[in-house]
Amino acid sequence: MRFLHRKLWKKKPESTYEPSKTEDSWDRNRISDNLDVNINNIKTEIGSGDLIINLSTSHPDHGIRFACVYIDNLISNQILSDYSTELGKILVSAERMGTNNPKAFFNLLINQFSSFRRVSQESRLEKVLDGLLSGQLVFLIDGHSIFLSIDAYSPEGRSVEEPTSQSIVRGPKEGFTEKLGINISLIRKRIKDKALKSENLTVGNRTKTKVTLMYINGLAKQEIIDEIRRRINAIQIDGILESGYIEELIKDNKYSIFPTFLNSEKPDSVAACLLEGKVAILVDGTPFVLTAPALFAEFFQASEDYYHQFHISTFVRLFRYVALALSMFVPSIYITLASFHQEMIPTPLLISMLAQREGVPFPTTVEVLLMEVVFEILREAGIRMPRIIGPAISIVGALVLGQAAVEAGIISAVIVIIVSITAISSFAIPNYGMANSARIVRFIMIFLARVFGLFGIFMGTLALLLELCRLKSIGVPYMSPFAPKGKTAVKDTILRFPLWKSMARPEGISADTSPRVSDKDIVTDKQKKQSEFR
Amino acid sequence: MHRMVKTKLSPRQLMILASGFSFGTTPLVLPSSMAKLAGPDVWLSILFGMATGMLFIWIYAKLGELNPDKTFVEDIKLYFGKWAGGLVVVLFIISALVLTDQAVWYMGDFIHTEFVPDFPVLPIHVLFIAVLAFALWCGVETMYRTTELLFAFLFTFIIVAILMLIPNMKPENLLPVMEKGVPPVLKGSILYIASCVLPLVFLNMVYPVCFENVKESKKALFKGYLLGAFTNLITVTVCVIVMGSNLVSNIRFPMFITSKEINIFVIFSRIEAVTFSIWMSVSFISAFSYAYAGIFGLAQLLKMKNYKILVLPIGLLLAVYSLNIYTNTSYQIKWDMTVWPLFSFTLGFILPLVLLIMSIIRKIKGKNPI
Amino acid sequence: MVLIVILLILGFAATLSIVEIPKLLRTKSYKELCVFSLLLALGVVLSILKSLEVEIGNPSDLFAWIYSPLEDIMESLTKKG
Repeated sequence: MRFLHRKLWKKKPESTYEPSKTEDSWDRNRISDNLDVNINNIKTEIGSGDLIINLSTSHPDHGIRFACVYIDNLISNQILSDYSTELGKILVSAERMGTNNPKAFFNLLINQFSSFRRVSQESRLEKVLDGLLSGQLVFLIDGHSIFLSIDAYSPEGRSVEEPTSQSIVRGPKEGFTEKLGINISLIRKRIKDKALKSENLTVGNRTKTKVTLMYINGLAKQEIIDEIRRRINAIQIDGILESGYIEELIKDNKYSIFPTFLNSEKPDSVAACLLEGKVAILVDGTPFVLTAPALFAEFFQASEDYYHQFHISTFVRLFRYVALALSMFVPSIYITLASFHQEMIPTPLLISMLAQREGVPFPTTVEVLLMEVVFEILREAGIRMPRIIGPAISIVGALVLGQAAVEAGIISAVIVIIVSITAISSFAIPNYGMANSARIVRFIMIFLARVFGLFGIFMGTLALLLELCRLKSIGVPYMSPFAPKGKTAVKDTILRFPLWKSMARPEGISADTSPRVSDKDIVTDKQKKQSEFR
Repeated sequence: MHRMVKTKLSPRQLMILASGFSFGTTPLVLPSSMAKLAGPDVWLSILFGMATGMLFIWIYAKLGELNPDKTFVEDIKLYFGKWAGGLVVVLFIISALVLTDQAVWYMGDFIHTEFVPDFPVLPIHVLFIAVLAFALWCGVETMYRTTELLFAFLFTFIIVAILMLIPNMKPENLLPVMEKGVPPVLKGSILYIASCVLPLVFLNMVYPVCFENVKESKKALFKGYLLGAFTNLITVTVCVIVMGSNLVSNIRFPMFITSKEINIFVIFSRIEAVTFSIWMSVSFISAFSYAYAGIFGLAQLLKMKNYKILVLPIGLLLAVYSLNIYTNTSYQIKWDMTVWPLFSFTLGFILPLVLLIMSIIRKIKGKNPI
Repeated sequence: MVLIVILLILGFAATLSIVEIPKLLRTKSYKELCVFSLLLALGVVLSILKSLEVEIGNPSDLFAWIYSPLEDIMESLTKKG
């Protein structure tokens, strides 16, 4: 009763998440003059596992004591040796100038290091600890209560390799890595425009993950940029480990099946999106970069479309939409035709289908569901298992489950065809997130087809369309340019018009309506009529 | 003229929805009733009805233009006062919901008769109403976008279906022309106007309020109406051409049966699924328009902030009454012939006309303050 | 069969109430709450009556009654011919 009372009447608290706060005692936060006290404070807060503290003096006999503190492995050996060379030069000049005052020594250090590295002076212990954990080198000087932090972050990581999740035939084979700095540079080297801006944000109370927004000022709509920035800053969570976390937290429609952000591992895709006026969200620690806003039509575009000729690209794009339809509807249509509306199948096909179903113990729906479930398990196993066993599993999958099951009479051969068509179609969809949504829709459709037949499929399709039209990606309707019909409706979505004809950027997303390519003939008629170069 | 509106729709969407609504109210049963009245002259009836219908559409368009920030329900409350207006609004809302249920019933009857006779009709209604409730909950913008998407497909399907029927056409079914004179044609026109023109009054819940540019949306309303009327003309005439008016007036779903006649190459001999999807879509569009008018009207009557909360309870009521909104088929035929024309003329002609006259008077008074 | 239907309806109504009523109370929209509860109660009662095969009215009859004086005229008007 009390539970009900509480549920009905109590006001729901604004948020139930409270980031952990450390006790902010003034004593511990203060940086003292004494070097040993400071070092002890740092050791207590961080722990001495991988904390490296190097004590030294500016002069063997009467010099100023100072310590250099950093966390092992966040700074590469290369940088450490560079710094030690620099430090050596500083000590030499300190001795020459006869510095015996901590403040003077401090200024000397700052002057030298700030000429080629980012340095900051800190007087709060919290800031210093944050800096240490982000890979900074901290100098503590005995007698001076300000620390010097030098940015020296250079952890180990993967180098730039070919992306594993998105393969292409033609185009650059560089992929993003887990290092934010390298990712930003990969984009910058493609767009050398001064209007390309990058903004740094920090998300995650414990992980303090660095997130960078990149956009081309003037092409991207200011409202969209502001809205994305506002949403990311409003995230309150312990940790952000991957861009998928951010995607889920800042979605417009929280519970919808369909993805509303594009993610890509390839810098040229992201650069193309930026040129259309979108905002890229780069997250430190993951090679998958988000682009927002993303429209339904964009999940069927691959960067390769623009590197091949427009005829073949249009052709292939149409097939991608067909693949989506197949992957969602084929099993349910089969169930409808086989269970409810046999009169719709042309008679010869019907006869052979019935012949195959002879002796199969299960009703059609059970067969379809069985094979679908088995295929989903197979697919998941294919992702998780070690690479060495890979070929063995595919042989097992194909031969044992498919062929043998049919010959044993557990399922009919048509089902194998249905399931394979469905599976292969779902792989033809360029974006993995969209293919996942198609899988979910497929199962819902199977259920509707079983209970209601053709009417069920139709109502399911209607509900699907309603859901798609309801979605928004950062305020932009998901189905533009199809639904609120725009000028670029057909040019860059279902077909791929030649480059010289796609003068308009996608509407709703870009703030700049001036043409992006000139449609003047490059090879004019006059040139064509000239005699050939022999 | 541009103004700030809360729910933004585009004129093109209005055009598509008006045509779907006009076409979709009674696509399945209209040809048989009209053929019963007008014989082979249905096409003349529709042409005449189309022309006269422009007058009615003009009434709605003008009413909307004179009261651009008010929906139909708000107009009634404004011009009829609090108590009389309230009563009329209640009747309007009940009519809207009754018409929704009728649309649901037509759809359920069609599926039950033609496709799955063993299946109880209640789950079919429930599924339809569930998706309808979802559309209402998503909002009018979403629904209009969805119809925009569907429009291209539906229109292509209709054209293709008509083209594929060309081999089966027998133009002699259109003769004799005007054998029994003008009155049958007029009777058919009346029925046509009652079914396909007057329901467009329900669009006045959406028409001026959600559009920034009133002039454009006015044009869109007319264009949509004409498009729907034209589609009606083509489909009904094709039915009669292919099957003859006697047969059409006696069978239950003439258009569907006509589409079964398509027999070009073996594959295309079974495309009833396509016709089915066309009818389902337009039924859904009309059910949505009625239901939205009813629920939104109720919310406006009670001055509620948000109508979405009412969707599911009213959905339950719709589901309950959908089973015997027409007690049985003969009741349906009788009701459609006798009550429906009067009903729709009161709602779609007399009421908007009175409101229009009062709007004009108000406007004149406003210009010359007494 | 009838019992299952009644249980389903009650379950639907209960789920709907649990989801919606706290939200309405929190935003203090008492008018919406009243209307919502009234309509839901009406719907539940009518659907239970219907599943018990009790006669509930037909709204189409309402309109047929309103227009009944003119019914004969309409009959003659819409005779075949």
